Amino acid sequence: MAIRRGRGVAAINYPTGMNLGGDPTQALVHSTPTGNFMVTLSSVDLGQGMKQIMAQICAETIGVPTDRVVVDTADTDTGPHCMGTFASRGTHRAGNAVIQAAREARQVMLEVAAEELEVNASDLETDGQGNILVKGAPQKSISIFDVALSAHFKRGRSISGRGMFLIPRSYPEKETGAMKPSTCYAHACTVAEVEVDDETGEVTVLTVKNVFEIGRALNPKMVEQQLVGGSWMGISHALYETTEPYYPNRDHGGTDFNQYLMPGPGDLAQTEIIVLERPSADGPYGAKGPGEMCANPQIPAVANAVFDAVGVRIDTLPITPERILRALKAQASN
Amino acid sequence: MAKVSVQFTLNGAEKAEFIDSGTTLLHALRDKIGDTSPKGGCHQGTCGACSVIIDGELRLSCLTLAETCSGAAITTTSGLSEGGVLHPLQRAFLDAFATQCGFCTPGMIMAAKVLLDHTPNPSRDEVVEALSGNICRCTGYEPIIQAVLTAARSNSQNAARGESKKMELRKSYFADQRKDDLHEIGQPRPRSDSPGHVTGKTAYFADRNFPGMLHLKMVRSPHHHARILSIDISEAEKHPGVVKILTAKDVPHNVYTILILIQIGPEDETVLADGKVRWKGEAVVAVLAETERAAQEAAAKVKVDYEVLPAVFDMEEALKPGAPIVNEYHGRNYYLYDSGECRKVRFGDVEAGFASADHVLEQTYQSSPIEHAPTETTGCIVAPEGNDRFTCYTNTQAMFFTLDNASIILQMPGNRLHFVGGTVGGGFGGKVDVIVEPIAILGAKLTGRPVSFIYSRAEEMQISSPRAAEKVVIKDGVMKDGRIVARKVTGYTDAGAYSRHSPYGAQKGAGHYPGPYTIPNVWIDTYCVYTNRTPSSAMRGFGVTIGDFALEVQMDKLARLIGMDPLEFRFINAYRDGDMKAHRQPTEGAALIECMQEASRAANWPVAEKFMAMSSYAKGA
Repeated sequence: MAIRRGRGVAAINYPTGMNLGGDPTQALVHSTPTGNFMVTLSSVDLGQGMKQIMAQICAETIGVPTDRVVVDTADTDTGPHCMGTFASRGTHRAGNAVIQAAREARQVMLEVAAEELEVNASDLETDGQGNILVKGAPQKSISIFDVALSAHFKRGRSISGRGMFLIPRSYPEKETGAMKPSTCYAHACTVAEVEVDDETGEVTVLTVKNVFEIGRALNPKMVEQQLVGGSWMGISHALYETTEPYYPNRDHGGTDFNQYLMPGPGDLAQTEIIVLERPSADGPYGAKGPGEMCANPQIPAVANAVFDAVGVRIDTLPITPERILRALKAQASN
Repeated sequence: MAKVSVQFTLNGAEKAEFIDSGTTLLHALRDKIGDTSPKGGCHQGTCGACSVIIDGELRLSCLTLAETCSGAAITTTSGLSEGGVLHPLQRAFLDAFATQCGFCTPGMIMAAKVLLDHTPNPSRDEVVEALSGNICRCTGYEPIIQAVLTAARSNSQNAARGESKKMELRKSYFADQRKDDLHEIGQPRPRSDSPGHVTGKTAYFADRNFPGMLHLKMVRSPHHHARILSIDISEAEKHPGVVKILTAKDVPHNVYTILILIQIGPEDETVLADGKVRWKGEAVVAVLAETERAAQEAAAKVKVDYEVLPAVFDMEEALKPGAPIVNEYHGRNYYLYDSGECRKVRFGDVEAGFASADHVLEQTYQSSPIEHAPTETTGCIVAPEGNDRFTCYTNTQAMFFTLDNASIILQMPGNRLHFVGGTVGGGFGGKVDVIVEPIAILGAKLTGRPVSFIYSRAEEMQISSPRAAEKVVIKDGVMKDGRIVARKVTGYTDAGAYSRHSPYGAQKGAGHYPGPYTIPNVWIDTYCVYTNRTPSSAMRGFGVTIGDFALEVQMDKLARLIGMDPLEFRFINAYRDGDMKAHRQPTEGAALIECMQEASRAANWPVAEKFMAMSSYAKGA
């Protein structure tokens, strides 16, 4: 009886957005006379940080600092339609809608600024700090605050924009299955290192090294949040979680956090996260959806590492000590 | 119920309340005093979200009776910041990006504060121990541990297991496809919602309390499959505090299915059971009462007479001729796609591929249902606006999706419905079913009063849809040189008793197989199967997660079968730009090869130089 060490690898891809498309999201953007911008959506923030990311996307597109943007969302009286927050679609779908709306608003903003500065709108640029400058003559400028005031009180213009993003729905061909499930895919490769106690069947995940390719990290710290948490959930799925431990038997289902097992703060693997960025052709600033796929590769990587450690295959999830011991016993008797 | 007086200090301020004897401190703080920073994640002492500090000790307010706190000094997270200046722990949680949904944050901060009050310079192990009673489902705990260590200004040199490196961006890959000239994008800006999380001020749907609010509790089926012979609500109606009891006949359009909005029918599920129950836990009767306790007690007095029917739990059994029919609206124990009994993908000639292969390997993989387990349970609060409109405060992941389905079920024009979300305490796909909102709106409509319907932790665990159990059979033909020449996948998704999102999930699997590999001959069948269990639905990685487990374990087995390094084996088969996929779309934007190259380096798992020189860009490029 011994503690045995093993490692395993897995590589995966994952589609962004609803399978087969057909999942629209709209956004509205308008300026207030304070020179700030309001993004209006009906999308839901589940904790992944959609509001913050939409603010950064709007700010980038209009050319203002992020703290000049307020996001009002998840209200069906004020926000235009969004299919919902699922299928790794929030950033991709709503982000594209926000870009379109923000571009339209930016155009009006530049037109008003052009009138104020008596130049062509095409000769203007934003400095990202809240000002609009004449290209090549930055001393000639106007603040976005002044532009907003002028638009509203003097020139009768609404600095606003409408955004819509829809990937038309694909219908699978019945016999061949020819279809377009998604327009862009995120990627990952994980190497997990485990110790297996062949006396108790207990698995300890020592390290996980995760490489994720996610299009573009719009906010690297928030990407890190999702990827670290996802990696934890993947390990949790691999080793612990189920509502029916003896599926398809319906008995013994857990009803609380004492019976439904997940790794606690004392059970963490040493986790490494490396991010690659290959911008997607149709994502907002190249982004893809990393929120779901980040929890997938750890499961097979851990399963493969367990085999590498003790030479038995557990092809049923979760990989519990009981399953490992039964497999070791079967192996010994063969 | 007997009233008792209770007097204590809350964050330094004197509080005195008359409360029902037996009221928990959590309810007293949230519903009587209005401090909603302690959260109710389980009401059974297992999640820690309700943690408060009582006379210097960490306590679970959901298990503490308010009347035992007289004379005590109580501290909550909402009282930590002084004069608008954040407590060092709150600051550290912000700086460490240690909050995501934020629902567990106030409890975490309480646990950390008690630790630091007693142990100003804790080791990592002491931090871990202190947080071990608090559940977080988003962060993976590491950022929280780091935040507490930072707040303690502890320079722990303890390189114990679990300490992790910061994320690294490898900008050298795909640099030719990317301009890194953006101002706001790519910047690690602080999250605008985190200050609300760390101060307990973020409003979740349940942080509302309306005068006269009713509480809804469900009478649920104790059987996996049974005919309902009779329902007797007469005793329950007499129970003190009961205001209204709803059965199937009260629901205007009782049989529905959520994906009808994207033309995936038939309608196959009842809001309240009508004539039959098809899974243990199915909603049969809804009880609305003045208090949760009255609703619960009255629910126990509802008498339902059942005739138990044979049930089927195993997908293979369910698909056999003569198996009990789970769901008559389908008339068969599988979903009928336009392509027939399964979604199909056919590419090349898979049998010819097997015939030409050096080895053929067929293996079966299985998973069990998995719960999303968000720290905030599913729920909603509905308030009549007085003008025949109803505002539904909900933690749904999809506002209009839920509104539109509620409109169908209630036969109520959409303009009568106003859905308001906010920050949701974790979803992971578990909050895209439309379950609590329609019946709560109906209750509000029929009583004219606000209605709260919030799942208990036990309901969240066993009643809310889990990730489906799946069975995946993979048959591969592989050559000695490492090329996979044929792959046949048969996937079975256990939908449980009703469709919900499962026909979509099984279909998504068909679009995902054979994984990120270029294989010339592919055959895919994915089935959505009905059994007498809790209906499954979407979860993070829907339709793909279990498939990836099966595919990637199979890849490991194939590599070992032909005596090849598992990582090198994947390079040989990895898809690249321009490769035709089985569903007849050319590959675009591939990056699998580069991920594997970087993993090879990071994990010190060397592969042959030719693999490190490969690129996802079109072959030969």
